[in-house]
Amino acid sequence: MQKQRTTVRGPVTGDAVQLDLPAAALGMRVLSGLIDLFCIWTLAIGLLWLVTRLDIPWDRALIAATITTLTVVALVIWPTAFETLSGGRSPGKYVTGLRVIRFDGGPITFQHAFTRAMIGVPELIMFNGMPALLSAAISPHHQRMADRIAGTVVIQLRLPWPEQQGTAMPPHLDAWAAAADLDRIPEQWRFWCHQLIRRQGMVPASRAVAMHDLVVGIAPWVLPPPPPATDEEIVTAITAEHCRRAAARMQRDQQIRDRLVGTS
Amino acid sequence: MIDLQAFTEAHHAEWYELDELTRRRKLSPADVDRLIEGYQRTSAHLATLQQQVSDPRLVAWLSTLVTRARQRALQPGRSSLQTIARFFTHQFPGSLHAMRHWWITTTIVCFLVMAGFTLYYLQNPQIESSLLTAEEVDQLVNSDFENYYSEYAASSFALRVWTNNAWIAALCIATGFLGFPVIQILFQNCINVALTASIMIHHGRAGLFFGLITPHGLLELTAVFVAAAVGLRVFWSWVVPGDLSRAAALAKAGRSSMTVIIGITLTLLLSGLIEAFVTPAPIPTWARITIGVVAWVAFCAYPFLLGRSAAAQGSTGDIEDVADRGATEITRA
Repeated sequence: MQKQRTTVRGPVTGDAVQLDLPAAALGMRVLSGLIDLFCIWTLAIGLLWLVTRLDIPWDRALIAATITTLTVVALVIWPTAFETLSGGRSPGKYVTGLRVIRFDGGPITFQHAFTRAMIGVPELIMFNGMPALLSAAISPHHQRMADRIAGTVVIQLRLPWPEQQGTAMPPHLDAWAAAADLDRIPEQWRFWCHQLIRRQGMVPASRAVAMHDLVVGIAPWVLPPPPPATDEEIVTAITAEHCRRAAARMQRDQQIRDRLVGTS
Repeated sequence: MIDLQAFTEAHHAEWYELDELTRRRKLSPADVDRLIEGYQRTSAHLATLQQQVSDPRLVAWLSTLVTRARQRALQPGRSSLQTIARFFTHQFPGSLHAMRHWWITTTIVCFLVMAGFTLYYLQNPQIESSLLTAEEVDQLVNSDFENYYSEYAASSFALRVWTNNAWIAALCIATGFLGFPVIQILFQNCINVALTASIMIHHGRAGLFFGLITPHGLLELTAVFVAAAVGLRVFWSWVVPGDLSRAAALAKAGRSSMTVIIGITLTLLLSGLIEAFVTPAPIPTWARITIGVVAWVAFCAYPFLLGRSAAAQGSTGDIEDVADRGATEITRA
């Protein structure tokens, strides 16, 4: 029996909703990491400067202790505190718009942040980021080792709103579309109509070919056949009519729901 | 089938409202209600869209919206005094109890390795002379080893010993996922102690050696061995994940190991204080050793006195609230 592999998608929330979250691009991760590293160095040097101004009797044991403490503050405490208090951000992630989230999409806690910072020391500092890069490159979610060990993912949490223009019904096809039987067109073809109408950036010749293929493809399911019009107009009319009918249906459903459960 | 355009037109006002709520800094109680309801409705919309071929950009956008709403609604509680208390009464002892086979085995093996190498060095004194010159041995035996503990002011010495040991222990755990570095660190550590021990015994200073190393060394070495054992367990969790998936097993062991880092850091603070204040103290050797042994026995008993019930209640070092772990599989506590 062949073992079925599920395709790797995003996390699933506690309410069992599948999320399609785009894992942050590797380049963005590296950029964000470099910014963070710069902040860490600045912090370490700043603290070192402050410490040297302290008027205390330095001996070698105290100097060694101070250096270790500063290392811990800059490499572990500072990133942990920042990530915990900001809910998964770091200075680099603010700049690049990234965010650390739990594997199920929820917000991270102190322990996740601490794990990420602590594993970051061997992974990013001791081995110069090689394990991180390797791990992220072979991971479907671009997880570095610290992400795997903490159970977190870094994602791009602000995306531009996918703008879609409405399709206007060509006036001379309105009457035909309103009366025609369009509901037998298979889902896949409807989706293609919907997509193609919105691809304004296509090469006009290819678009025309695709439009024609669509019109020929859906012809068997459309009754009565459309009046004379360009391919583009026919596809537009069908899409617009589908939208009109769907909107009416949704409005009807909403009215029924409101009547049954009361308007809120 | 849902018409994407009609669907978007019907719901985008709600989505925008939810989007705006997630950006707000302060939420009134009414806003929180709207946020939760918006989250639930938008999740439902997303689930509906996922059932059919739809615009991947819209699905991605809605996914990020749902995630942001969830992040806003589920902000984890800040730590409180109670969390800190629970760390000492449940989390740390519970994690030690859950990993007891690992650290007890590691500790016994390491002590045996140290004893074995000490005997081996004692029977083969030529190794000692090949590693160190006669003057170096003389200096170690007659002054260095003893002076090490009283060379600096006790407070700065304690601070150095503590920070150094804690950092090494933390790195032992953090590099644990790689496996072999931990074994290497551990082995070198054991050999070094064995070499010093054999030299001191060989030159008739066994009493001095054990009188100085036992008060703090028992606890300190055990703490480092525990750290190494926990590191190795992280390694083993992805090599042999058991009844979890590899990713889930690694994450669970990894997060639990972080509890031990914090706990071991505090344990090493105790051993550092003993090393700086008790080891060089002008009190009889038996008194110093008693203090060390009491601290060591207390540390070893701690996981069994407090940890057994804590682990039974599910505190094994991983994040206490199961929902906050973000695990997408059902795991045993």
